[in-house]
Amino acid sequence: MSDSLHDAIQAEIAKYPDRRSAILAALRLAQAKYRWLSPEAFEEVSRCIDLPVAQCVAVASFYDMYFLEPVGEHVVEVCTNVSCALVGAADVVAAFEMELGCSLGSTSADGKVTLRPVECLGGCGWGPVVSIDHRYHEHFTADDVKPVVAGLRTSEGGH
Amino acid sequence: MLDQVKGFSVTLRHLFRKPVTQEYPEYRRPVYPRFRGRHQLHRHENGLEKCVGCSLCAAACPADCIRVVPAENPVEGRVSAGERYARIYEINMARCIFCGYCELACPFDAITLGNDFELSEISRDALVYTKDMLLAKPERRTPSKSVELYDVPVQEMERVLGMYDVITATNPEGAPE
Amino acid sequence: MAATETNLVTVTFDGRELQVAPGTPLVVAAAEVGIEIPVFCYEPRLGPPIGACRMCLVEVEIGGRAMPKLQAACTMTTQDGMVVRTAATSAPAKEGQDAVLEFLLLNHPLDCPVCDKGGECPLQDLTFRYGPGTSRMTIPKRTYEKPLPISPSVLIDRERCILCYRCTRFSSDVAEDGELVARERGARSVIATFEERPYVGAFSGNVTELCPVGALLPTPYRFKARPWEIVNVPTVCTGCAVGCNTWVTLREGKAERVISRNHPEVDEGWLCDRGRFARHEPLVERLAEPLIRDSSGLHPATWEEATRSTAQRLRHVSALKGAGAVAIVTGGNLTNEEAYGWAAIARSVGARTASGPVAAAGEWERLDPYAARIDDLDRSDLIVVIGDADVADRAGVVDLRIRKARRAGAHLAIVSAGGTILERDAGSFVAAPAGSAAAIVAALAGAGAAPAGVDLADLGARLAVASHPVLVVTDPIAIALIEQLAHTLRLHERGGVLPMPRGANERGARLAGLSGGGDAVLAGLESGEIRAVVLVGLDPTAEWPEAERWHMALAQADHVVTVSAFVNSAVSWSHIVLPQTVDHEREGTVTNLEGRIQRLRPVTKGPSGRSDLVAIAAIAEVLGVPVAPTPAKVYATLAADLTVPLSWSQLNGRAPLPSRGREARAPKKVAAPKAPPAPAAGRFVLVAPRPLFAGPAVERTAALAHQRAPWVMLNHADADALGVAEHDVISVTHAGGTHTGPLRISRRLVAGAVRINWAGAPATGDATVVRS
Repeated sequence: MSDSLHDAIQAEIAKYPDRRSAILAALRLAQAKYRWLSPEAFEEVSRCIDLPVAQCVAVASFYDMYFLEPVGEHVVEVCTNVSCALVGAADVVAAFEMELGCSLGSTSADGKVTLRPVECLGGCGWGPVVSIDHRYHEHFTADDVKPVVAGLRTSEGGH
Repeated sequence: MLDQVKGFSVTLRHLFRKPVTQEYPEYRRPVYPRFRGRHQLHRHENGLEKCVGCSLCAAACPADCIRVVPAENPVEGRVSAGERYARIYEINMARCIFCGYCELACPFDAITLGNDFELSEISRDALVYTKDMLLAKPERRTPSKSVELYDVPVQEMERVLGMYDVITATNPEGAPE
Repeated sequence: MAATETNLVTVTFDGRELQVAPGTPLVVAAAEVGIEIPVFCYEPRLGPPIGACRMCLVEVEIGGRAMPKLQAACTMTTQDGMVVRTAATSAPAKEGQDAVLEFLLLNHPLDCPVCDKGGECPLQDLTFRYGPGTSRMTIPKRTYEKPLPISPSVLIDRERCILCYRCTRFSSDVAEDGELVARERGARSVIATFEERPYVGAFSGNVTELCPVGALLPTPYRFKARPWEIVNVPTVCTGCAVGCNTWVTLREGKAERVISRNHPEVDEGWLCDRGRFARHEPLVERLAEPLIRDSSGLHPATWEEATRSTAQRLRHVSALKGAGAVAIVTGGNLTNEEAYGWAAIARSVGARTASGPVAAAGEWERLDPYAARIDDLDRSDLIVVIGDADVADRAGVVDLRIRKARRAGAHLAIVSAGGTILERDAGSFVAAPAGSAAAIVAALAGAGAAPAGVDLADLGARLAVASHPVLVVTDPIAIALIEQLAHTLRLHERGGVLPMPRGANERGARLAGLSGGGDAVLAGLESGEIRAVVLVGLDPTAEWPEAERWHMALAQADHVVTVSAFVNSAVSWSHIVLPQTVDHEREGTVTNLEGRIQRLRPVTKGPSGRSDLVAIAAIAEVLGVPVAPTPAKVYATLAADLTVPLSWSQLNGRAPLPSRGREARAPKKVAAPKAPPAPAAGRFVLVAPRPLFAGPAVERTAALAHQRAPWVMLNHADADALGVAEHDVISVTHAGGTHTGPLRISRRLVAGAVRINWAGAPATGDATVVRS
């Protein structure tokens, strides 16, 4: 058991009247540490926060922000909800798929970039919105994909 | 006096007519197409039993003569098309009143009533028909009248009757088509 | 429109006016005026409504103003002047309900003919009664792999699930194990466990009864029967002393399933998995005929021979060696009537009797003035659980009742060695050395000092001010101590003590005349004073502490008569073996831990085809004691003897618990108990209370094998010191043998203790722990 994570989670729990409330923060801390939430990571969070491990999974699988599968060094998330879809999110996705050589929801063969669909990022007026390593890019078009991917392939992990 | 002669003349006339008695079993009179006789369990074209052992026939049966014991379909060598099949399917023909409710209740058209009524046996036990017996074609077949004589949609009737090998206009021998 | 009473409001349902308390859910209020609002997810036992299924949509008008949208009648509560129109009178509500049903059936496979729920399925019934009748669905439905086991006893069919969240609410809010959850979101939500691991809660089977569709079904009942082919027999579970009311489903002479027969004062409609799934099967292993031992071993005999021989041996020993040379011992696995019969036999031969392993821990009647009812927990503001054993291990569904009281605001205080399932959400937890329950009770009663390092000041203060405290002692300690504490706390005036007998009908057996404890019988056997012993539905070498001593003692006895359903190790010492009937084969009454007398009805016949009472009557007849061979007659005598104000015919349905006098007299002071000896260096204190999932029926039930899977629990500091991690396989060796299982690490189990779940272990002692 890594005690730094345990201590960090305890600090989060102390902020709330009910330890259950700290579950999002605890999962975020675990994801920051392991990059994705593996079954082992869930078990560790469950022990630290003293909640059933299944409830941790239930919460994590509800939110898009938690990675339940291993991710590459960079994470590209494309909003595919209505507003972005209307202004060409599908083209952006297709361009990313073409450029990365992997389908939506998987990681490129070199392990560098993971391409995921994501629910609304709150930029409906400026779609399509793409989040690259948690940094939002508005009015993203298929033409922007090539340089972005090239940049990601050469840079170190950043999220 | 004249009345008596008229009366006896009727008798005399009939004495020389051909009798109307039909010799059974030498002559087996065709039954109506909708006649309800011995039950038949059916299979799909791929050989799987249509019956999934849901017991709805047993629920519908007013004579309480159907017993179904279902079981899980084996992974290898499926018996029916569903998750379950009838491990035991028995109809006690001694109790059956041939009402056809089982046929109506069946959600898979797995059981239908055929034309055969010659079911007598010398022991009561032999009247409990098991699944194997009900899946097999009846040994003796009862001819059915041509459906064309009746006001039913002929094509539909042909399709249904095709399942029993009965005598129809297009299948006079009653042999499988 | 003014309410006639200030605390009532007036609500109109489809033109019918109703005076009702404010804040009542509309579905409940509507039912009072005879209007049914269909529901799937609404279930008051699961806590506050969540409005998940939307089946209960109604049109609501408050103060003449219509609410803009249809409202869910389960979450909407009554307010004054509310006018509610259900689908019966309101076109928008009808349209909404039809749409909801259409949505619920969007992905439902409608495979009712192959679904075990078909015929007793709320979705089927409500669709039939309220549904649109036809489907507009032409596109393919969502499919999943099915059926998947979510545990060896429960199967899930995700295609049929309508996501009402009843099962996950049960798991998180009633059993509070949180193992069953909804994973993913929206249309992709599925009911699942972590990593598809089995759902191992002790109460997991309840989800099969809660599920309003055929998504969660009990594995042992899969494809066994349809609802129109079965007879449900009302009876009572004899797994433990709670006495949950059950229906036993009978088809073609076989008991196929057990479901709850909700007695709100006893079980609230819950059953533990042991009561639900444990069966004394297969019948081929059952003893079917009496056996008598001759020089070459046990041989089949007729009932006549066996009962006559039993009577003659008992009479002979008693005549030769005097009173007290015979002992009749039971663990509570018999009916009141059978106990009465054996007690009559015991009196005629001057036999000693026993109904529990330790005499002092079985004197339940001493607690009568202080006794609480199970539903006292609902009213309590403080629940104190003392002891190393889990409440669920001793009294199944009482655990759920305690959790419910805690959620309702009661303070739950636990004093134990830690590692129980109840303590995680307790209001306060006091870690005490293993085996110190007696010392803690004595300390709270002011009769001794608390064990070193245990601070009971906070608990004592809470007990002093609580208005309705309920005390639960799960470990078998001297009742005199508990009585003293109860009297000190004046529990005859407020709250009470909830007795936790070990055997299912231990109380009934005592009341019927089989009082006393196994410890005295064991001593008598060892000293040679007792020459003949009758074991009724009990194998002390497997079910009681001191197994080794019992083995040797039984080997010394001149005559051992065993009444047993299965061949057990006591049978190997027996001279006469009489087959016993079990759970669903019995007729008679049993007394639960509160003292409630409930009726067992015979569902099936045992392999011997004979009721136990007939054999008892035959033995009694040889001895010249009148015992009627029918339970109703014996009960009449028994009820007269014990002044039970209920006749045989009044025991139908949900048995009442007549109120008792609560006149308490000051008990004699009891000496403070000795502290358990500290283990030698390098050894651990053993904590091994008998688990819920133990006994001959559980051992023979495949669907419960996972519940018995052995485990070992250590404190995290001890685990670190030993260099072992969670799931490592650990061996624990103690006086009763070696127990091996994966490690569970607890932060609350006291250091220096090892907790195991093995029914055959001595309850206390010390042990060595090694990684295997």
